[in-house]
Amino acid sequence: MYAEIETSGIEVQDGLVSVRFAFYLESFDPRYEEHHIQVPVIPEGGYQGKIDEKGQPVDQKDYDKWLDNLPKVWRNNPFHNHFDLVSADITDAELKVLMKKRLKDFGKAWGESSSILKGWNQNDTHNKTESGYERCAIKALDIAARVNEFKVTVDK
Amino acid sequence: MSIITIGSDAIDRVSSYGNTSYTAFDTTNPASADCTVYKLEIYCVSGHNATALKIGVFYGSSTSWTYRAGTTIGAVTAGSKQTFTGLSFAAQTGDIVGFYDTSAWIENDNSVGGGHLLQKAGDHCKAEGAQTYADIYNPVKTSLVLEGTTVVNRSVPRIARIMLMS
Repeated sequence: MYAEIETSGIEVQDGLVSVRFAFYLESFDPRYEEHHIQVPVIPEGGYQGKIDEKGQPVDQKDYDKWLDNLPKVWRNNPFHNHFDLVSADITDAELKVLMKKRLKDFGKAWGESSSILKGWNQNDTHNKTESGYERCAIKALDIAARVNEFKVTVDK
Repeated sequence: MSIITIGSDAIDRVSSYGNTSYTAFDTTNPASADCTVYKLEIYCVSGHNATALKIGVFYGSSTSWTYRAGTTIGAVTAGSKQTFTGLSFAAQTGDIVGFYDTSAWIENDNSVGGGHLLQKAGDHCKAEGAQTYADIYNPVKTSLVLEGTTVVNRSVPRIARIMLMS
């Protein structure tokens, strides 16, 4: 399994940087097939049939038939996502240690098919020293710009 | 300490809610006590990812509802249940869960009971006072559920959004 940072989930919050981790399974991991799925490739413009006031196709069978005929691609969805608040002063090494800990803990809970919350140790002691908005914003942008440097794995 | 859920199980359902760029919610299973929300589960319809999902809790009645608190989740992949922990915002008794996104379809079912589905164009997952929503469907359940604990954190997060998407 491995973890990445999802840039669309980064915010500045309460003098800290909120970072979103996305956790993925590999083919040898337990319950891999639950999030390794085929999804349709929706063409630009989407479904052209009639839809109702909640955006739902009026003719569900027609929509299902249209969907069935679309090309499909395999996608590996995250098995879990987690937000952590970290200091603007956190180092790359500290952030990777935190990611790896979360991955290991959530991965263990996932593998045991127990509540995912069992993987969330809320008493960990990662760097949460607060600082001003500007410093946090710079850190958030820096992490987002180098997101590919933060992928971590847990060995089989 | 008790566990509080707000909303309906995030499961694959027989139909969908697909009005993008609307703020929407159904009134199924409001909060039964004041709580601090720490988890979200959501099931987006296969092929219809969320781009920049925002979620929140709302209070009110009938068609008049006010955003109380929430957070930005960001992109959400569709086709399987997605779970998010590490959230922290306060909800109060009677609050319901709502969402806003520009691209997501969310699994939804109007054959299994539930509450009223309400919607309004635009992003209303923000502090702005009471808004009037159109009551478009009932009964209905939407695959979006928050979980919280009755240990309440009353502080309001000071959140500043940074434009990270190029």
